[in-house]
Amino acid sequence: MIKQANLPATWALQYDALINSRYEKLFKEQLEPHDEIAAWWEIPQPLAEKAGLKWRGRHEWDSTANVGFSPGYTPAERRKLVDIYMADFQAIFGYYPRTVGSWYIDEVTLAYMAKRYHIVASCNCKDRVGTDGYTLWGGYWNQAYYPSRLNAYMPAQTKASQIDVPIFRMLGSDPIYQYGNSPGMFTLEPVYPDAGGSADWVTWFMNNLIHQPALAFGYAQAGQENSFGWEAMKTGLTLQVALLAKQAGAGEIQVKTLAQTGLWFRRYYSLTPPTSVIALDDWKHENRKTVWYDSRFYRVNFLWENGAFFIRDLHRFDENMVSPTHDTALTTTSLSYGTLPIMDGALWSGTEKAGIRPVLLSPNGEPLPMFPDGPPVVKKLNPTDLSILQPLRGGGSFSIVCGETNVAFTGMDGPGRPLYWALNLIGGVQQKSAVQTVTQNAVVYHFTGVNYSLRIFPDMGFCQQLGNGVIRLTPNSSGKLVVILGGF
Amino acid sequence: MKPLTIIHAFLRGSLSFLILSGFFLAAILQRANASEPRIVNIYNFVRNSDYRLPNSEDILYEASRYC
Repeated sequence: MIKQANLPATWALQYDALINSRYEKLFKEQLEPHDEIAAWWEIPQPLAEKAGLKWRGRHEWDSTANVGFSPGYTPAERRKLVDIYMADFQAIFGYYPRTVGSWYIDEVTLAYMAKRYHIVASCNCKDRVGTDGYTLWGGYWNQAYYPSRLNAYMPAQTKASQIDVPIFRMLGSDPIYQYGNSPGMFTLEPVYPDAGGSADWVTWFMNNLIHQPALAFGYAQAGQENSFGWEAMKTGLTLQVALLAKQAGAGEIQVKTLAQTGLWFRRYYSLTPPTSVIALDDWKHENRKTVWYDSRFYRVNFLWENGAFFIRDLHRFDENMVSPTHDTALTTTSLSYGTLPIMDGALWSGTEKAGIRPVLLSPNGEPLPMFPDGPPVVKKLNPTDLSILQPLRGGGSFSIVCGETNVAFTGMDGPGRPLYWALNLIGGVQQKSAVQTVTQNAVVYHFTGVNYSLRIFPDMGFCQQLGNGVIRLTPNSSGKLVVILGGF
Repeated sequence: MKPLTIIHAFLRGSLSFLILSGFFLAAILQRANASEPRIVNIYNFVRNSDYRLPNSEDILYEASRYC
């Protein structure tokens, strides 16, 4: 079907499929020169045993995290597995694969594949909490990033500390509803009837990808996992391929292989660029909107719902944070990788929903709701900066500018005078546990053994610990607050 | 050439210049858009078997073949 649409595709072979001659025959006979044959990095029994390792799984392929995925093996074993796979791939196809994907690949494996076999791109699973025993949470939202040499899930901040293989995020997550452990699956995976299997949802998703600001580039990964079977995927995949062909023909998107995409990324970006993912309309017609902004220093997510807007998520990135499986094999049956939370709407919400909420302040400092009036205006200011301008009920506006290392907030009333406003950080017991100190210029955190902070730009506001556990960030006398999230 | 003719020629030249500039600007804007591509990968990954499915080898192969 994809061949008939004349679209290039990437076919990533797990080792057990690689060594099955009927797949070899299928792909050698059916694929076009513009297609890519790549590697899929789950570890099945034949690969482990050929590498001289005792198979610990219950089946030929076992999805248990410390059996089916590279972190379940020691660094030396990981390299051995790579050598076996690459040798057999080369023997069958006459070259080494250019890209390698998996739900998760560790940094030791990636660095070795890059150095010895010159792979040009990788991909890993979208952010998720707990699905199938895998948690990837707090990372670069969608698009792609260069990972740290110490931690494949963590975007690197410097060229010296990064693996020069961009990792693209898989599955095309719904930027509003595919968040944390929220119920349902809302991705481009064609088997989900309310998302990738729905013409309305796919059209909505692609329209946002095409028409909203993306900064460096917009990205989506479509396609399928053959474990679902053709019957389950055919409706969604058929409608997706038809739409992609039409949009490619109109010049609205470029359909590329993962290898082509990786080479493009490496050609234009030596460091991870800022990108955004934006949806200003709601396929559920419940008036939610969202803006994701990512740089190599942090990610932030703004959500509009229930007549208000707030920061749902803010995580910092630190290339020096060592992965728990960097030197040793994963011993648990589930895997979990994360970054450094400043605010986590998914994992910090309890009876009260966690978030950073902009509030107006009464003359005696009491918080009052800051209500939006109409939709926000979201614009790209330059290749790195994204502007969100939210008109406010009662006049005035709230301006947010996301830059690579900082976010600037400004509240002004209708005549252009500074508003009396603040940001309230509401994170419950999890926030209380993570926060070490609050000074006038910084909030200092400690999480999973790592110290990090949110800082205020000099003379651009101050921090305050309130008695009810809330942390308040207040602007300067000009109504401006600048929060620094990296580069220090 | 009379002064008035020179002025007319200049104005015609300016008009041509403005039109050319417009095309040039449009070309720059087009390139700016092209520098922020929307890229889609059709990425299919292929296993040989899946313990969760009966007769999985054939089911997985057929899924890959039909795609």
